[in-house]
Amino acid sequence: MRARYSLYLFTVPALLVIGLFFVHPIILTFDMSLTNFAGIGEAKDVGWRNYERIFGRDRYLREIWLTLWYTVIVVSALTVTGLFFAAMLHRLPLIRNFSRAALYTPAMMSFVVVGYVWQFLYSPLNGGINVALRDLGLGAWEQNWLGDPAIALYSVAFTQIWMFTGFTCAIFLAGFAGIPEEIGEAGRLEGATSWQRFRYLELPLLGPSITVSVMLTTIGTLKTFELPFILTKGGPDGATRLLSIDIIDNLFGQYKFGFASALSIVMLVIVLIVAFIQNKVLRDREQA
Amino acid sequence: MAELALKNAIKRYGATQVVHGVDLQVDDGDFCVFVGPSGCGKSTLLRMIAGLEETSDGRMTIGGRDVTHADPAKRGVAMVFQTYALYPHMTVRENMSFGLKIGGTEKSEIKRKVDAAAQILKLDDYMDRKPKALSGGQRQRVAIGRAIVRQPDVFLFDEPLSNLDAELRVEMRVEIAKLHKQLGATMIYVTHDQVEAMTMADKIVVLRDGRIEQAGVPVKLYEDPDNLFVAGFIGSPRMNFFAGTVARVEAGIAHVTLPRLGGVEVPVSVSDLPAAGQAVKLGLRPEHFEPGGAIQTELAIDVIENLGGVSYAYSSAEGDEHPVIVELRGKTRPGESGALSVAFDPSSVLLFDSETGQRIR
Ligand SMILES: Nc1ncnc2c1ncn2[C@@H]1O[C@H](COP(=O)(O)OP(=O)(O)OP(=O)(O)O)[C@@H](O)[C@H]1O
Ligand SMILES: [Mg+2]
Repeated sequence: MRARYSLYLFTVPALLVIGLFFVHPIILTFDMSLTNFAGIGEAKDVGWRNYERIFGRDRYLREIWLTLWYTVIVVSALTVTGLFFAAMLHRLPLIRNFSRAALYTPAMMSFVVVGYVWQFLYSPLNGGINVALRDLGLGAWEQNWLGDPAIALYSVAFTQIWMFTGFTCAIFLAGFAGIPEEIGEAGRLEGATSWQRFRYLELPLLGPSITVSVMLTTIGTLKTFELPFILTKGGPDGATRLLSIDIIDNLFGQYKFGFASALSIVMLVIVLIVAFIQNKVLRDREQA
Repeated sequence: MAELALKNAIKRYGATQVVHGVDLQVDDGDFCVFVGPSGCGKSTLLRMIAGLEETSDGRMTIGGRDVTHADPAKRGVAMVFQTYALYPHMTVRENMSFGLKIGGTEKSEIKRKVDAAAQILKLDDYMDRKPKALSGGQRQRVAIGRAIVRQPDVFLFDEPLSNLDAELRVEMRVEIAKLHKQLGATMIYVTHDQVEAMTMADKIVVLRDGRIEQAGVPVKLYEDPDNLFVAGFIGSPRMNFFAGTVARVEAGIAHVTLPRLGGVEVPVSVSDLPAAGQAVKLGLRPEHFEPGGAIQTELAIDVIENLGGVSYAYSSAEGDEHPVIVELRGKTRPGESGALSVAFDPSSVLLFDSETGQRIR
């Protein structure tokens, strides 16, 4: 029996670190979310008032939906493009390493750099994309990419997808590397086309990679604020105002520490719920 | 009708050539075994036939059709991999059906063929299991079943039994041989196992460094090898080689002296007579030492292995590449090391040119 207890003893350092740097701040944030603390002065207890406000107003519910929608778009696109490039590169061993590095470069760049570059590309008059369209004779397709509420969210999402495709591609390439070569060769001998091999042999065997990739990109995208903040600041007309943008705005714009904390807690709960459901669903699919 | 023919088949990886102009004819319904030391190009040659490796040069026909650059699926071949290469996410039935399904075969037809193959291979009880819930032998059977259902003209096996334990290997060996009889299909089988090669093959192809050293029926390769390499490679325990010199040539008989055997002189009858003084190698299989032989000599034995039915006596001397092995039979076998008188008949020795390694017939 002594041996059993001593086993738990070894987890104490890890538990301490988690408690100190993870649980403790969350508890502090939760405490603060029950106050109207404004950065200075006294923090007055206001009970659940902050939460009542969040769930009582359309504005915040809309932001939650927008955040979820943005995440759905970005994560689906990242999964599909990552799989596409990984499947391509898997079949082209000669350029694989070079292309993987090239694809991964955007993910290594600072959000600030990416944000400013794409702000230029998207800018309505002399922006790179509109100029290119004009030069190609496709002037009719010119858009006010970041200024039109109907498409701003998708423009921001596109930049995020561009930035992180290399990341998902790298995960999937690692997954492909784990599939024995003979499996594909057996498929070829049986007459499976490249697409059939992907669909019936490789895709099912990539299950664990898909789980990892979807989980990581979902959590990352739910929390993201950098690109919308730099590109649109949540505008136009709130079209890209994600939950995270509002948190930043409340915190550093209006110094509503208490309310921002409540929003953060809501966000944390959303991330946890989504991650939990995803993990369950994806793991079950892997088993099947 | 599905005979296989290779004409001057060459495989290059960039600048390195690993298969050097192989000419090979495998008749319809033959069981052909590729043997050779590791790295000699057995797998490469098999994969070239499968179409998994591009043939750099030369021609390849299956059943008269030129398939040199044909798509793997269009060659009428099926392959059983050493690692089985089963689809881990599919059940046994799905594994065996996959090729037919994507080929657009009708459902009832697929079921009929898969059930028939399962019956032959005694897989009926495992059809709904995934590969990871099967033993090695069962997996191997599934891999063979997957090949059977497609009714290929040529079956290709790459060391299919090397992952199995000795007992199962014997069992599967017999089963594959039975299967060959039953299906009557052409089979090409890669192995480095002597016994598999000798027992299963209609035709053995001995490869070395990407070249065919000799091809023929097993007995022919065993009794009448073309060169030192084949003589040493086929047969277990291996053939003994003694360096010698042709002392004199008289009346169509070369008299060879063997320093390793106490300088005995062995008269060898060959038609292509070597010159007196030429260095030769004399090959003698362990079982060709017989007490009643005409040539008598002595060997210093250091180890005797008793396998029950036979014993093997080993004699090593300085400068020997391999010890001399003597097979001992009968009731009165010497049990311990020491000097042993041995004898053999000159008619059972083979003569080789020391320089080229070619047989002197
Ligand atoms: N992709 C490659 N590039 C260069 N050389 C290769 C390549 N693949 C195989 N070779 C070489 O080709 C030769 C034959 O290899 P192969 O796998 O056919 O040998 P093998 O006879 O099957 O050996 P084993 O009994 O160990 O399986 C080897 O010398 C190997 O190094
Ligand atoms: Mg091999």
